[in-house]
Amino acid sequence: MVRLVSGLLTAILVLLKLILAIIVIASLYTMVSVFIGTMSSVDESAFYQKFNPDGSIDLIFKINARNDGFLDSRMDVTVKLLSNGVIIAEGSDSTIISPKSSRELQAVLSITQSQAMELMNTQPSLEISFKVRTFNDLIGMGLTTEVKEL
Amino acid sequence: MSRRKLKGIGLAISTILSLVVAPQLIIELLPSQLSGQMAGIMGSYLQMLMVFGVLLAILYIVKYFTEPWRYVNLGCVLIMDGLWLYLLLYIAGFGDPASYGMFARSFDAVKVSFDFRFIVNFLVLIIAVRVVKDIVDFAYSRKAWKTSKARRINS
Repeated sequence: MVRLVSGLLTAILVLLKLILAIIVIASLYTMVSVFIGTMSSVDESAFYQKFNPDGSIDLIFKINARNDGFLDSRMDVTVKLLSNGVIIAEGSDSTIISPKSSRELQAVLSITQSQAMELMNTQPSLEISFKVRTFNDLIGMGLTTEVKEL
Repeated sequence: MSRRKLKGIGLAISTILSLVVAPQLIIELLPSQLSGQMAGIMGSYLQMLMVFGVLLAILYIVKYFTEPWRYVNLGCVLIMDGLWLYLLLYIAGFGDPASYGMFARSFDAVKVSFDFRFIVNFLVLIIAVRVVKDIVDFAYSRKAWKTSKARRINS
């Protein structure tokens, strides 16, 4: 009986290790491929402005997120406009990307005309953060960077 | 030398190679372009792996050089399970076992964050099953040893 239990536990251990190895490899590969696929679409043209009739300005950050991995993954992008460490405007977008497909993400930051005038006299910076979660949102990684000279 | 002892030596050598020799090689191969902060983090991280490697190698030798029904063997196996758990938490937390797989590191203007809590939970489950298996194996070995001892006395 004890021998049987030991054998059963050994089999469970092998199975658990195999499942974990598959989960880790598939998840890490998916997350890294989403990051690489997304980062390659980020360039100067990712940012553009839209002037509204009421005088406010929409700063739009548009990227094309691509998933070359094995699993569905959720991509979150958040952009913050900061002035002397204070958040002036914030925009975010989130989407689920199926394997071997791509989706567009668009974060819109709206600033009023007076805020825009204030920013002319200060040194604003942008904080861009990307978050990728996969395996039913159970495993994730993120990257945050600050662009100081606008 | 018995097959069991040879297995112990083999496991100790493979542990030394993977956790002591390989990290030493990685430290040597660290590119000089890496910033001081990055080199410091990786250096202390890999040195800790080397300490674990030496401890585990010693425990492998003790485990395979003692009979499986001895309490010292059970103690050694349970300490190894504890060490493996700590080592896995250390690796999953990038040097911070208390983070339980959720940590963030800053490199100049870039901050990288990870959430590996699910993987850590899975690892804890594996270690828990391993502890149960080790105790069951010990109980089986001890029972078999006692039975053979009683048989020898009777005969």
